[in-house]
Amino acid sequence: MIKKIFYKEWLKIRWAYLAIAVLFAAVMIYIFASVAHTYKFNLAATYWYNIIFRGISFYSSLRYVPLFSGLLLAAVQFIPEIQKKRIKLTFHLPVNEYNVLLVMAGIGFLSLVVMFGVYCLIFLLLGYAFFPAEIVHSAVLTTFPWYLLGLTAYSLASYIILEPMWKRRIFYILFAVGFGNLFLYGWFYNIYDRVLIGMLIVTILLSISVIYSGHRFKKGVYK
Amino acid sequence: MEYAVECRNLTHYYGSKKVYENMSFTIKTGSILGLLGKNGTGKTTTINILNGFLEPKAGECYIFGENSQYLSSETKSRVGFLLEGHIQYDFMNIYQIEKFYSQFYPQWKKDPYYELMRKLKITDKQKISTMSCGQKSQVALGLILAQDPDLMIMDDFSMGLDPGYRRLFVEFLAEYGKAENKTIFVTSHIIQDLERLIDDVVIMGYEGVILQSSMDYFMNNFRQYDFKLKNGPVDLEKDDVVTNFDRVKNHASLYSFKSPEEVQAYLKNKQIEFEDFVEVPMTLEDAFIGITGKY
Repeated sequence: MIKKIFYKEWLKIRWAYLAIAVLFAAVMIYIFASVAHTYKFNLAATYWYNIIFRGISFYSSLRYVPLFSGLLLAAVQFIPEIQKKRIKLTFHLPVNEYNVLLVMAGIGFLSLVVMFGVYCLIFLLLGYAFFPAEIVHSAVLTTFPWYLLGLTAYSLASYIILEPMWKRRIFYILFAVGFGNLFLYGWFYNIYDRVLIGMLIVTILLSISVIYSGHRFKKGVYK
Repeated sequence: MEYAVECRNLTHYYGSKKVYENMSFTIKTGSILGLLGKNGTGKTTTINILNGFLEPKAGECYIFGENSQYLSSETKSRVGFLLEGHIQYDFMNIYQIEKFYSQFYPQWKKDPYYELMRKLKITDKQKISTMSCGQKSQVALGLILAQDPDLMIMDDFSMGLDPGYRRLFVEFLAEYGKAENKTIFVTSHIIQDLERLIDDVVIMGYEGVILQSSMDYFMNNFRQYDFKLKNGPVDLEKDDVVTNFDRVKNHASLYSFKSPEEVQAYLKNKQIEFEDFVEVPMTLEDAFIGITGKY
């Protein structure tokens, strides 16, 4: 079933996915071009000092990119499903409705994991070219919640889009904005180290939330 | 199996607004049944319940003996579903949508689908979102034909179609349904389209099912009688004889399943004086309005 559903989901997300890849590439180029530029006009030691002791971040432009990616992917994947209640077609396929929803959400979620993983790796490798390993590892750990936010945003946005009632949608949006802010609390180095595991668990749990709004849609709670 | 679909004692409310109570109907295997009703009588609600997209407050529907709320994959693969407005995955093109659906149905027959597309001169790469409503209807029909289901559920298939496409759709469906012994359940807001298509009819009013019968019985036995009231306006209540009564000044129309003699005797018995009593031939649309009323 995964392969069959993947075909449909891929047709929906492919251009957005490409756009996200290009955006990430552009941001990475911008970050490391700025780093290279800073190196050209400053001593490496001064730059590192500013990073370590003054908390100056060289990667802050990355902050909202995973969030934007998650929201975009959820939108292109699930808005076509609720337009004209097209998800009825999906529910009518000869497979279990909840399994279909899980596969759809899983495809989007894992697509983002792959994208984030690849760019995390690129960030790591490019970072090694300019900074000591400690700074790079610390930077990756600091950006990790942003990636988790991207995944959480994807799950919550999918959940909200599939929710059949506007009143609930608005309530969920307010909750999601507040909840999402926890992931963007700050960018000081290693600020999230102690709660990263908790954030990871929450992110994974939220990935199946789409089942509930899909269930409500299926039961006809839209009037 | 005698009935492909059985709905028993369906009751549904949207909030406190009642759609219907204790509605029951059946669809004989191999027959074409039309569900008729005015706006707001619950046609789409019924189709949603039947497809498992809506949980009724009470009652249940069975498709091939399975509760529609918990249809197995095997039963779902035997049911073709045309969504109101011929909705399909607009982001796909002709080739992609056929490829997508074909993976789910082992008995998939792509030839009728591509044959229909060739007739319409639609290319494989044409995206559904760029098509006219008429073309979309043929794509949706082609996909259902390729699925080759035993039961087709078609929600307001004439929506947005011009007369040519409506005629094409009806003729194709009638011919295919009979030739392949398919069970077809249709709703349409254009009732004249159904006249040439359906074997049985269910008419819904605001309180539930008004009538379920064969088209032959309905069209041969439901009658309109027009007459002039000699002694000024009189209004008649519905009862065993009077299914519906409509009057403009002294000109009355009485709708009934009774014969002209029985109706005339009924009027005399009520001491209603009348003249120019005639039976008026009716189309399905006339009969529908006659049984449900204009308002």
